[in-house]
Amino acid sequence: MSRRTIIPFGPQHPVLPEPIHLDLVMEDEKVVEAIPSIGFIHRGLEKMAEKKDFQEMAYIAERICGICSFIHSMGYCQAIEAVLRLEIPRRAEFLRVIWGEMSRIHSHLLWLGLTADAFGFESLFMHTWRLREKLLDLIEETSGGRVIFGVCKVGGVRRDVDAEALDRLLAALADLEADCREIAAVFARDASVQRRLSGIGVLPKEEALRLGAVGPTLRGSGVPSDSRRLGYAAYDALDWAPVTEEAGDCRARCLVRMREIAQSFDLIRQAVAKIPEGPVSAKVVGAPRGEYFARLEQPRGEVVYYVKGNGTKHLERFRVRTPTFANLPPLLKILQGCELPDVPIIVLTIDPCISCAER
Amino acid sequence: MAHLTISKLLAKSAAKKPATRRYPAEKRTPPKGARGRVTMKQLETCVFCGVCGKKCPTRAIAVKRAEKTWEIDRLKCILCGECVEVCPKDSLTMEEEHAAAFVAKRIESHVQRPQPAPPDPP
Repeated sequence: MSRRTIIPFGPQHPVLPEPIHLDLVMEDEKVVEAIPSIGFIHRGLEKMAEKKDFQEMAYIAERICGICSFIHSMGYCQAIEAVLRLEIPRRAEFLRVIWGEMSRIHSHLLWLGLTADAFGFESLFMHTWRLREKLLDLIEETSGGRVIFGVCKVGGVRRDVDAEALDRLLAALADLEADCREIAAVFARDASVQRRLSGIGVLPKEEALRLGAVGPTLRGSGVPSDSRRLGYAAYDALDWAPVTEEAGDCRARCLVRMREIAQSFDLIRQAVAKIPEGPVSAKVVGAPRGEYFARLEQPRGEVVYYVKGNGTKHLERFRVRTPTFANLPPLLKILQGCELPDVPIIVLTIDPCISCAER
Repeated sequence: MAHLTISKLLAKSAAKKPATRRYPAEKRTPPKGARGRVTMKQLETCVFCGVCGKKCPTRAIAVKRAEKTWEIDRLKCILCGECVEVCPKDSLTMEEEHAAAFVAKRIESHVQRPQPAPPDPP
């Protein structure tokens, strides 16, 4: 047996936008084991729910993460609405879907750019983020904020988007979709990309299920699991099926995200076509009493919100199980046996969002 | 597998003008409805009811009725726009242009001057 050495990876590492630390136990160039440590950016946001008004808490929930911001506030609001037994207007549900899918495209484009940067494809990274910039402008036009949407509230949404603005949105998204196809072709076919992604970090289907992988990590291993199938918000009215890839390697996870971008464009189109007229928010009466688990699909996978209210305006307990946390055990599994230069790519392909995971 | 798949895209973008803006020569105009900054537009109509301060999730706004002052700490403000929505007199507005960066912490204060007494009825 060769001598084992430990290489520290992170919390500050060129490919990691956020701090996570891995102790890589190495045998020559092979990783034998990866030991994670997290807790560098714990902010105590869950505890804040005990101090803040439950309606104001929607803003804090949105700030759990800067990338999947909208879906965080949407999940929190859905959980509170369920406890309050509050029926929100249908138009608000459709608007939530539209913004949620825009948030998903933005997150996936960000991830694709970071991945291209991680394997040293600088021009692809720049072009991916050029497209993301266009999308951020569209988000700002419809919601008022670029990254923090600030439009979701308990009882619905805070602003309406008129028909004219929706048409403009569709036209702009059609252009963006064509641009995305050009980028997708590079990710799917380019030889240099394939060399860095194909056959790397394979997560077999059984392992993915056993270790509780979620989101594109799970779907990249061929499991058609997507929380949007629960039909929350307006997803029950839309026609779609989860995107899956069979290979389970880094390329499969990349392709799943690529195809999900296309799917999100389609979902936005369907939602705009079916959006009913009417109010966008319902009046909130009383304070939450009771508990509820809300499950939603974030760009990174399934997220679970638990809220427990005691009839006052402060919640008794607020808990979030984020997709990155669920994806850590599969990550540690696929790191075993890989080569050292592949570690950054493998870590990136679960799309780690550490500020979500630690809150 | 194909080689140089990005070359078409690169050639296309080389022929186009840059995707980025030539700041500061060319400045960005924020879209309509963007949340840039909260401003006290009409101080004379403000009744200092303090609803904006109470509704503010970060307590960035302080209203002192006795001194007739309305203050905002821009570093605390998260631009949610709740204050603008609840203002009963529409004294507050949300501007699209964001506040300029500043070098020191400060609280922006607006003091209402005594209003001229209404003319005596004849």
